Amino acid sequence: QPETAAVLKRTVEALMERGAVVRKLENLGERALPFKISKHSERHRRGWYFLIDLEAPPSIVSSMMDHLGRDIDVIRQGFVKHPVAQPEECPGMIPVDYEEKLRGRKK
Amino acid sequence: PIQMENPYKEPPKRCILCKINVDYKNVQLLSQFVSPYTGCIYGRHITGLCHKKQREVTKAIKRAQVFGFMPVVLKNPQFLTDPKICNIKY
Repeated sequence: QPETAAVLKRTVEALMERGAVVRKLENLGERALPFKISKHSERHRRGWYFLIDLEAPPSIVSSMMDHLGRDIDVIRQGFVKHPVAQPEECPGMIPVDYEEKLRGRKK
Repeated sequence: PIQMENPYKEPPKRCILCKINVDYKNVQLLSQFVSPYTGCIYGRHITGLCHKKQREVTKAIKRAQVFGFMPVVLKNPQFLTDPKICNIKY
């Protein structure tokens, strides 16, 4: 458990070094992984899941993926964009006219 | 005769995920659109979702599989007894 704290500290420090602003750090708990992952010559079955909210320029991404890939304690890493709040204008399911669609493409 | 819009028009049908925000983190919702035997994602003719939501669900499933939230070749046995959403007969 102190190891996980050390790993988190390392990652956050590396992020701050490259100039990223950390907004939130969420812990999604320790669970059994959905499949056994072998990383750095070790087979893992359980892992801790963490989610870090951050604001950073996109040039950081490749260097951070490199850095986290070299860290032995990190099993899998990844960056995801914040989901943009969509305008709520869903028009509902309009029945699609397949014949018109085909004729429109045929020219 | 006066020209007017069809007064007997029904409101457009909504798909089941219409107001729900699809996230790659809630594995339970995503596993309901995955086959329990092979783990493959159901197509639109089975789930009955609209274009936008089907694409969102597919992208979320692929993301969850890569990040290690959801298993790939099977369905999480915890969620096997979920109510059936899709139009499939086993």
